Amino acid sequence: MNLFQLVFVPICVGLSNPPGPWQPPWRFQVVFVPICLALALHAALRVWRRRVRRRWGILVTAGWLATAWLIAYPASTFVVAQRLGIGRGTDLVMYLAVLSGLFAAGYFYDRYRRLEVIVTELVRRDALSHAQHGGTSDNATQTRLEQT
Amino acid sequence: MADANLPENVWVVLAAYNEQQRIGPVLDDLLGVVRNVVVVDDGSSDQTSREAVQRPVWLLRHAVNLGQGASLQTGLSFALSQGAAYLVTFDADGQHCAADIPALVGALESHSADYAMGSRFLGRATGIPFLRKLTLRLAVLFTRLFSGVRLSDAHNGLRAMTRAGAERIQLTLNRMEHASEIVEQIAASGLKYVEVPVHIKYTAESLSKGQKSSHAIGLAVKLLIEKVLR
Repeated sequence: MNLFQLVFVPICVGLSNPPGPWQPPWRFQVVFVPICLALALHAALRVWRRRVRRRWGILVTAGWLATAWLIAYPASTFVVAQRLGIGRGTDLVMYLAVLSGLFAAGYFYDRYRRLEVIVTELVRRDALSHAQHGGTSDNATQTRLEQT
Repeated sequence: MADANLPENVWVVLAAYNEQQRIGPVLDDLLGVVRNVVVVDDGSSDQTSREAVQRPVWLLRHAVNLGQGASLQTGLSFALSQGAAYLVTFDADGQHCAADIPALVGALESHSADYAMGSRFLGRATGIPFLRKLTLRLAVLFTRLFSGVRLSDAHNGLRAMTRAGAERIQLTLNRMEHASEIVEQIAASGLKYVEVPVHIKYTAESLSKGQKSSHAIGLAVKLLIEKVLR
């Protein structure tokens, strides 16, 4: 059984067979389903306008659509969880939330490190170009060095 | 007056952060041994720079506080650009002895090595608290596990290197994690290293400001994260 069969087939089956009929929306769904759909549309438009990498944009769009679906049909998580051998739908959601959290932490740590490298480089260049040689008198020599 | 037995092209690099009270005596001690000293003021909010620049040393100032690793890299880059043949890293808090520098540089020459790592456990560590000693021993094990380098003192800031050795060092971890990073880069360089006994003096002042034993877990976690994500 490959990754596709293990993960995507159960998700597709679960999403295409929502247990029970459509229930009249209540307040949580009324608020959050449109928000998720709007975010999915936003992500899709960014792919369409080539503002993000295609593969990444499609993944984000699919993520928001899946979130909207799970909010609209909460019981469908049970079907997916059963197919994946997790058991309860709430456990599936919790695992996905933990994985998403770890992914987000890694993503933002990477962004932080890149920013730190840039700031360090700027500060270092400034320090190197303003090297100052001291002396026993108050007239310290200040030397601007050539940028290397 | 510099030590006549030392080569002229020995450059000492100090990272200093809020060391107004200690930097003066440390520099006076150093200038009795070496001629070329680079002080990197890492965004100090006190008069560290003013105190340093009253002596014949090079002063580089970071506009903001980046950390000891970043400061040492700035100082090493500067010393290399000035034609340094031997580079020594030295703490600005008064824990290190300038008198150990000739032995470190001498070890580079006599062993044809590119790195001479100071070791307080081969030499002397005056006034070292038990918890600090334990933490440093654990750091040795950690370093041996992750870099494969067998050192008796993995986190000693007193070390010497040749120009070729310094050119292989490119510190990217800005803060105290650089001590492990530098050992890893030494291992990756494939160049020869030796350990040299040195004397470390712990005082109430240096203990209050220096690296805390309780920071060790945080440093280890950050190093592990770097290993996973890089």
